[in-house]
Amino acid sequence: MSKQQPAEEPRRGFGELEQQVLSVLWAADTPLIPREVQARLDDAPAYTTVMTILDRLHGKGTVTRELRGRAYAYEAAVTESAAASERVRALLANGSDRSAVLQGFVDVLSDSDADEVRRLLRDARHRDNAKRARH
Amino acid sequence: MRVFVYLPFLACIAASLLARPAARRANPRIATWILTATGLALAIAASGALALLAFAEVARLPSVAAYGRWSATAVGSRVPVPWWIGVIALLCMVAISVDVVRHARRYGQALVPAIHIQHQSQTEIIIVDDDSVYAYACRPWPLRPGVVLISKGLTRTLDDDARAAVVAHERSHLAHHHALYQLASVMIGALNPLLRPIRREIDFSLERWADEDAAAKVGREATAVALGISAAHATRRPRAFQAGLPHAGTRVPERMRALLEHPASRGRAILALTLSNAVLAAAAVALAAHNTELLFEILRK
Repeated sequence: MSKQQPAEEPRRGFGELEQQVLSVLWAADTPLIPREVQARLDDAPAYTTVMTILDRLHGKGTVTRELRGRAYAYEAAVTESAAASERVRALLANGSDRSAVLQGFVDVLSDSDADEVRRLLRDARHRDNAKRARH
Repeated sequence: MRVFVYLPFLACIAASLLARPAARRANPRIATWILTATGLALAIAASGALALLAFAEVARLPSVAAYGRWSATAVGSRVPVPWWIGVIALLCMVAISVDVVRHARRYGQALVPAIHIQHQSQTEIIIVDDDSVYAYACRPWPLRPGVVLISKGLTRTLDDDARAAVVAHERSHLAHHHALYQLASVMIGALNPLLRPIRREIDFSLERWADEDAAAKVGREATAVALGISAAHATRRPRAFQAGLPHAGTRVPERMRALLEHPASRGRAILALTLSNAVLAAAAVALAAHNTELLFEILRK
């Protein structure tokens, strides 16, 4: 079979586990060390797997961590309150010069740029996939 | 004063022409530093030159001459600035003042709620309940940690790797105080319309800087993909709140190409040329100011 098959499996598994770890952290009201996270997961995965996932989530900014004794304790680092959302939407809508206050990721594209972006996107995806298949 | 007072304006035009090739070729971090330093120096030098020219006009008014104890007719014959240039300089100063006030007001309108968001947030990331696709870094107050604002629309659109790229990009904005550079770029553009191209290139270099930091974390291709997908979706969102955008289009294709083509970090010569422009302009306006002072010493009775 193709080489990609075994590489795809654990990736999808990781994503699912990540979601489970996140919901554990969201459900807990205090920061958790990896052992506690592991204990609260349904079909207890390996300790190192939990560590890897927490590290990845931390890299993405999805969780924060602080030292508790000799281990890091993790906490979901996301605000999802309606009040915060309302404040942000109000700021974006007030027509002021937010470009000086907020640094964006992308903004609106012109039509010709949109075509160019689609072409570059195909190219980038192609190369990204090729890179992953090699690993 | 004769020639030197006009030099800063020429330097502004030259630097504006050099800004784009400089930003495209050089390392974005260095390009940001140099363009910001150049822009600020030129904005100040050109404002000084404008003030000198306008002063030459005002000094001709009898009441001003009486107050400064020089002869209005002597100014007319000795100061080497034609009356119409003085009038133009005065009008430019008025127009710029109006523009600066307008910019400051619009900046203040965004600053207050943004500082509020920054201070209220307990976490580094806020997921905004919004179907539009966007992500912003928010650190208007440099002494407090910043906040990343990510819309639900964006988290739904992107997969894990692309989300990681976005977070890394925004964190780079926060960590390197890009809000301060951006404030400088707004000031540069407001103080002198000739420097608007420099403003655009500072904004572009900031995005490139954050792109490179994200690429170092998650890979060049993954960052380019995240950029492309977000941009493609940003086009399709409702346009309700885009009225306040000062410059549409963030040159996403150019940023994607830079990520995919691994540009060699060149352009040192262009950057050096850009910066030397500013030094020259600053020296010229200092000289012009000094000469003016000497001239009015002589004219004083």
